[in-house]
Amino acid sequence: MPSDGKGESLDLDVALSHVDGDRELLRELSGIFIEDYPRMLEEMQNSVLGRDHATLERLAHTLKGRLAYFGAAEARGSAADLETMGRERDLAGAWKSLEELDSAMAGVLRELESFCRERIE
Amino acid sequence: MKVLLADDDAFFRLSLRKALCRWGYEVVLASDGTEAWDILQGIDPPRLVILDWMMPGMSGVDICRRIRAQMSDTYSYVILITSRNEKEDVVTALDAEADDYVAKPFDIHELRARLQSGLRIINLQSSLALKQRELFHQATHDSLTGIWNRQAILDILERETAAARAARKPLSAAVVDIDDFKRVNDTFGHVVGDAVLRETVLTMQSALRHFDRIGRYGGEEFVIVMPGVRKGQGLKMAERVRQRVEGHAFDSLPGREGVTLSIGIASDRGAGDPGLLLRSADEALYRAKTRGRNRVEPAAAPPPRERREGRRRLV
Repeated sequence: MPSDGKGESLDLDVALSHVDGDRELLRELSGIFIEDYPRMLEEMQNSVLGRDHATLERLAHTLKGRLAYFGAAEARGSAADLETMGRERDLAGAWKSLEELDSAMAGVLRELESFCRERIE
Repeated sequence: MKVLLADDDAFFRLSLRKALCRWGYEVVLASDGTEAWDILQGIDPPRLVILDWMMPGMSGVDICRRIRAQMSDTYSYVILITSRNEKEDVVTALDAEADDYVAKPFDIHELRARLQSGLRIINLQSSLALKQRELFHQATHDSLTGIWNRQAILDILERETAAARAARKPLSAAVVDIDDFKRVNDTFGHVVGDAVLRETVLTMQSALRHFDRIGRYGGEEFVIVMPGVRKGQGLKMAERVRQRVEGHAFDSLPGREGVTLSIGIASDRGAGDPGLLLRSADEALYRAKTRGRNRVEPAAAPPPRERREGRRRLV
């Protein structure tokens, strides 16, 4: 696993460019992201079940922004799809997109966790 | 320089706050649109404003529109941040009169550069506003004595007369002249003359209420506007001014000689004619001069013009 640069699921160079190379800050942000994701996923699932389009749009929007921050292109694409579904109030493909999102997220989380474990040199 | 950072996502607040602090900004955080608007309504709000577009409560675009509609005194430089990056968003942002627009995720160095342009605009606006205040002061004040100049005190008299008429309240105006001022100039020179003018103004001001207005009408002539003051009270106030100056030992005059004033005063209840009021006071001043100076004379009631025309009643 590379400690920085382009990984399978995300691009740490992109992420580092957003924090001006501050690896410690990026670790802190990664920690927030890893911690928040399960709750966000659960809330998105609930909002699809409850046909709460506005909440789905808002959560997917936030997640999309964070994923772009980490250069996680594939997962970001799924989040963007979910945001559009929420905005257009059309949840037909929502479950499929949620599954795609979660499978792409597995790689993102793995790489972020590995980055967080890295010792500060 | 304070900067307001409004974003509902704690992740981005943390990320941006660190960068902004590192660049030397004092960061004020808001976690939704309503909180951001409250901060902007507070005392000495940040003038650099970074707004996330999508926020619960009020969106960044809503806040931007409100800033432009309601905060016209000082300029706020607004940067909208969004992760929507469709072309119509740029149009919407600029329509809401945002100064700049940055799409998430953005290069942090780009944001830094954009904030620096914002700082330049704010500094430019501040120096223009300061210049404007200075120019206004210069245009309305007498440079020697620092009190209102002729045009400004005449404007004030006109406004106060109209206000007094509307509120059916009395108003008095005095015209004041320093006795034998030419002698001061001829004997001691203009430098001393100027100092005497300044000292006379300060002494007169010490005898007036803080909401009375005084302006330099001519060389050694002054106009005092006294809102809410009717005839008897006006005479007493003018007399107090005269006595205060008469009793003052002038630092600026060799031997701490004295200076005296002649004052004409006119009072007006509801007539609302500033020209008439001033002419009446001026005529009274002329009488004070011919009756031996160092005295206060009230305007003749009713004054000559009014008697002639038989229209208005001057109290």
